[in-house]
Amino acid sequence: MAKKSRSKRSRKIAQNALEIATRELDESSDNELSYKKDWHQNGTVINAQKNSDQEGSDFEDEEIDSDEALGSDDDYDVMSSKFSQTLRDKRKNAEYDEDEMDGYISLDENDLLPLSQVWDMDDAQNGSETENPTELQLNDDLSESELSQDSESDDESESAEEEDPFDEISEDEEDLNLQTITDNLCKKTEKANYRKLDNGVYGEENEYSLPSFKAGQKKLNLNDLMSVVEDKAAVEKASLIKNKPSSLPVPLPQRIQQRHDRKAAYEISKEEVNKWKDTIQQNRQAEHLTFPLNSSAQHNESTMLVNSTEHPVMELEKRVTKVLKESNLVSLEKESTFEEIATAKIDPDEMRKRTRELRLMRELMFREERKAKRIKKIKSKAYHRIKKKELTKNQELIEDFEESEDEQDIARARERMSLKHKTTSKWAKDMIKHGMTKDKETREEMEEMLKQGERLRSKVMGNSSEDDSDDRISDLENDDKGNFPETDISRNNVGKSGVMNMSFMKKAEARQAESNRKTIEDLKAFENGNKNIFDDDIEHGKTGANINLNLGRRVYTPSAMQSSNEMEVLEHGNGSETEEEPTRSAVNSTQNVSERSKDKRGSSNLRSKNSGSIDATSQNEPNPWLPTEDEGKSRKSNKIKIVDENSSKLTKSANKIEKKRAKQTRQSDERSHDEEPLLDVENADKLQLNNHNNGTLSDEGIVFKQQDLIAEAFAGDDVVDKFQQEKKRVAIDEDDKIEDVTLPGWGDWAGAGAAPTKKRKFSKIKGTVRKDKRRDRNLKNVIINEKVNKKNLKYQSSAVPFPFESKEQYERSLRMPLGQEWTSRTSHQGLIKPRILTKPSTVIDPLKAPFK
Amino acid sequence: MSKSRSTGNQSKKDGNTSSKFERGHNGTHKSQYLKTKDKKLKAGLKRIDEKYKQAVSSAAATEYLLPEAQGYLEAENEMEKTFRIRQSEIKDAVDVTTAAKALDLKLKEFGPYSINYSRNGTHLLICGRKGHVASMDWRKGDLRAEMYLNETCQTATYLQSEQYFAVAQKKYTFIYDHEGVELHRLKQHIEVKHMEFLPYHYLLATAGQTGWLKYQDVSTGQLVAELRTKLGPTSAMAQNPWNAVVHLGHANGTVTLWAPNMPTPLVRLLSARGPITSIAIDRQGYYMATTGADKSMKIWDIRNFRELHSIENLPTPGSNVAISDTGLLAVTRGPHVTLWKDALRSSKSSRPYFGSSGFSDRNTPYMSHLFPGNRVNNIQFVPFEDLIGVGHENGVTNLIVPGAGEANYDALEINPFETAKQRQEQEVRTLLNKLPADSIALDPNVIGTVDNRASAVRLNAKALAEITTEKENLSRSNKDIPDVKPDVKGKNSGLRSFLRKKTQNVIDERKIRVQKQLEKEKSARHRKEMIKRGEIDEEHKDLVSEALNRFG
Repeated sequence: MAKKSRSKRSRKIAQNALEIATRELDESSDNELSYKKDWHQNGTVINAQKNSDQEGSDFEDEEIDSDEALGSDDDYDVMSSKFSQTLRDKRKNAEYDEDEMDGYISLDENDLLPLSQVWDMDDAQNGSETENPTELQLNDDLSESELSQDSESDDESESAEEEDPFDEISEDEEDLNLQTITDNLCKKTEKANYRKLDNGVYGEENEYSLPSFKAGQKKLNLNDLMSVVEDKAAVEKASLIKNKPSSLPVPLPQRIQQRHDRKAAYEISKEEVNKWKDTIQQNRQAEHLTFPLNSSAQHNESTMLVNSTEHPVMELEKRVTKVLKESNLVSLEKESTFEEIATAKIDPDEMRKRTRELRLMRELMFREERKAKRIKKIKSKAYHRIKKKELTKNQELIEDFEESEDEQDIARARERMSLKHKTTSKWAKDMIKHGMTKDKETREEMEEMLKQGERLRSKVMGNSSEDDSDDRISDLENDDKGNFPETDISRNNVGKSGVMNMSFMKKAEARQAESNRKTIEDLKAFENGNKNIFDDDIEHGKTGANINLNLGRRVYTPSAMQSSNEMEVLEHGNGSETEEEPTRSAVNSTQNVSERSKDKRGSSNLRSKNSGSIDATSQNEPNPWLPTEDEGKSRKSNKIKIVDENSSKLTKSANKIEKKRAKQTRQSDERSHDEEPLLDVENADKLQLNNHNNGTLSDEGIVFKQQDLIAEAFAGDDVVDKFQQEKKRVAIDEDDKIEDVTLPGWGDWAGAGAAPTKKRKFSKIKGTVRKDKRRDRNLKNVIINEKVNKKNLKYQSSAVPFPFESKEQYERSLRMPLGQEWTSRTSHQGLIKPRILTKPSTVIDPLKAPFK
Repeated sequence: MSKSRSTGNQSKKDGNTSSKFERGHNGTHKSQYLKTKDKKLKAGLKRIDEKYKQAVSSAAATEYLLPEAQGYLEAENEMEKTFRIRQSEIKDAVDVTTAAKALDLKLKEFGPYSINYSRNGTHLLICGRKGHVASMDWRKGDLRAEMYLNETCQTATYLQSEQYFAVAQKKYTFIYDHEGVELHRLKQHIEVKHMEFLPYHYLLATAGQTGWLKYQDVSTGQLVAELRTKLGPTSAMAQNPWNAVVHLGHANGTVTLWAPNMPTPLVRLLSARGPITSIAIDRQGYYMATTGADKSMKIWDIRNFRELHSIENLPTPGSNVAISDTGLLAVTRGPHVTLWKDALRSSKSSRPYFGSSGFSDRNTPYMSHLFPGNRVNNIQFVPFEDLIGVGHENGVTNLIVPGAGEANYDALEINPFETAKQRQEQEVRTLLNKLPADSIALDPNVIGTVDNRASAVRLNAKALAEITTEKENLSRSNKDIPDVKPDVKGKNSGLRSFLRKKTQNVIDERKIRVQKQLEKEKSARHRKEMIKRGEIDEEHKDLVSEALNRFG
């Protein structure tokens, strides 16, 4: 890309050069015209530098590496020479930023060239570029090899032969920047070139055509350039210039280099990451993880490990201590007994005295501290008000001297902003927003508002806070006077020794006490000043309010008092009543129940007698299908009745069955007749029993019962048959079906003599289950429904779920129910334990790198 | 002579206790299901297996926390039969508290009585046919509620706790609270004869004369399901405590198994030749006993629906059957109450007989009792007590049956000594854990498993993609919207009605497609019309519009 744009530019320059050349040729003919035209075209003076920079910046917009862009930017004017290359490199290293800045900022009059000069410049460039176009290209391409370097070195030698531009530069012009130097350089070379071009043209010297170069001028040498450099060290280092430059190995192309870098970096990072590999794998495979991982176990050091006596007495004790000592479990500090402590050796009286002293000391210190704290806390309304007044007064005094009005305003504005419910009004907000606070009137208004708010608030708050503080002060005083009268004395006595005896402690104590005293005095003064505020409250203590303990509210009337007493009495009575709770035995209570039921029954009987008579009459009618159980008490044998009753229950259905049976063939009737006696074959003893029962029947009963039995027997036979038929039918229904789908006459020849085709078409319709795969195929008297229960399907998985590969695996995993109803507590908890457990309110550190 | 001795101690303490706590089918070999290349999965499976083993062993370790064992009446010699021991003799022999529990309420006026004990056995609900309903804390003798309803009362049952009970009256079913205040009249439950409360689903299931089985959610008040049995009046009813399937007995001798989410019975069993009189299911949901009016009694293994025992000729038809928590089978016929021990085993020697008739290996009754001149209406074993409650014509009697009650109760599940606070908390907990009604199935273990019709292995990416793109393809081919039908009238167009149903101001991708299709339909219809009128030819093609169509 860069190459392309550059070549484009060079072409442009070449074009310019051509124009100049033609102009020069035509000069003689229409000199004046062209002159006017040119001026008109280009303006009076143009900034060549700027021009070039602009081009460079344009060029930068395109996608190129920053190095290349920079290079192109810099070497625009001295592009072709190797010398400039080295220069450029240096610049790049040292003064990259400055250079860039220079390029845009250092536009002096010096830099502005007349048009003709620019033309010259263009010309020169053109010349130099046209001289070795290959070099131009190679110059950019970093991937090019030695060939280009060779050519470059050739160029260098060429450039070295050129005349030295620094001859013209005097010593005092050292502050000239490199830009101008190179500019000059360019001029020189251009001039040479120009002369070459000009050689063919024999025109006069005028303002458009400068006089040609004088021959014999020195060529610019690198050493000449070096002489300008002041820094000796840099000159020393410039080995490239001094020695014959040895060719450095060509750097790899950037992307390849970067690839290599990445590879290396990846290897390193991989190695680093691999340190975690085992830990991570372990964690992944772990069934449960508890975070924070590897939390330090808290051991309760048992007292067992601490020896009670120094010297073990028992054999076992000896051994244990030996083991403990070997395993470094005995800590020396713990072993030290009370006797060994230095204090134990002091005389007991002395000891007691010391402890007393210490205690007192501590007590006093503590009390003083408490006092200070308490005083600090005290914040009565009055105290605050006075404090505030004082503060404002002081501020005003200070303000008069120091603060400017603006500052005041700002402070006020800030204050207003911070006060929440006063500046929330729209007006206030607006004032602040638009800076109207500077206006004196508005400011006053606002202040008035704020004051009003404060007043209102104080009203709302009432005196409650004052009460608290007042009590506290008096308390403090009481504490001082009443409870500890001997404080001062003891204070003087105590603390003759120890830390308290030290001078700085004494001083500090004294200071604290003094400050406490002062604050108390201050407070007292406040109190005295505002005594009238607090007087009212004291009288409130005892009013007519009667506090009822139970109700938790105040009752103000004497009648309320009475009623509350009554309530108490009532409650007491209740309590005594509930105390006598009857305890009944099971037998007693059941009797109770029966008695109660009897009572109720008696009443209900009376009521129901009328209706009952109707029932009785209806029941008395002789109905063979109804049971005779209602006359239960007059019965002789229960057993007979039972049979009857059972049959009666089912008579309806039996009747139905009989009706159906009537339609059946006689053969089945006969068969059932034959089968009836067979029933009793198996158990002879029971048959006897049965007969015995039957024997006691009355005549009517026998007839009726036999009928019933017959019906039952027939019904039974029918039932079995029907069931079998039903089973067959179901089996066929649910089986696969083959349907004849041949269309008669379709695709056949019709008419007399046409043979009917024997081909028939069948289609198979899939049923729910095949006949030979039914679950009940081998079961007698069973029909199992094989239809798919579609509503149950939603509780089933339609496919084997993911981690499992077969149905077997999956269903095996379901074997154990998780619920606590089916497993023991421990296994239930184990089964439902989440994979990750985190301890709440603990910091979970990231995985630590294991050391490898 | 008679004594209740604990025999459980030495009976089942032999090593293999953990097998009792194992779950699931252990059929697949370890290597088979562990066959996978996925290391992570393998580790996970191993972990699951380990956890399972731990859970089983820890559950087995809690076995010793259940020191109570039920004891039975034991005969001292071969000549002595336990069923000859009378209640009076037992009462004399047992401790006072047990004797006191054998209450006998003589209520002659309103019988016959049906009884119902609350789930924890603390309360007794009695319901006289002629309208006497009473709820009581029977051990304390504390009468909670007593009502005379003055109409026929078929049956009564407690709901989730003793705080509520339902009574099936002459026409409707009513719900009362613990004080006998009528709370609800369930007008959809008409002429109910049998009621069951499913405690984990909060469902009240009723059946009766109408032949309908109705489920009412008592927590929300919704009628969850109405199932038509098509088999006439229901003659018996019981619930399977294991899977909450309701068993109904019918006049044609079949027992049908129902779940509220299936309109047809899950299973039909032919259990008697005559009407079924009673059904009982044991606590674990393994066995079912039925009695029929044809004097038969059958014991089924309802895990695989095989008949264990079939007794065809009882002396008289059995009227009630019940199975205790410990597996005692109680059958009543008329005034008789007969109990068998070990009747629920498949071996031939456990088949119940009334007498040994000389054979040594016959399972003779464990106990029997006779209510002379009376008739048993209803029986129920008292939870956690060695008692069986009998409701008969003259009141209610508790018979002492040693070894009938579960000796070790789980207070977290059902607490026979619960306080009011515990009861309240239990109610909240059970409400939170309430199972949805449609989760009832014959095998409750299918919940959470992979659908039988689905592939047994995990789908690969391609299949999954196919499934996911299926829907997309539907929309791409306009299969999810009505077809274009130029033949029908404009008003009847499916597309139009589709648009009509859609909210007017919502425009989505589908609606736009429908509108486009509708345009197409309209133009097609118009063209048809033109052809019909002869304005254009059948082959006519509007070349311009066709060319422009590609931009539309």
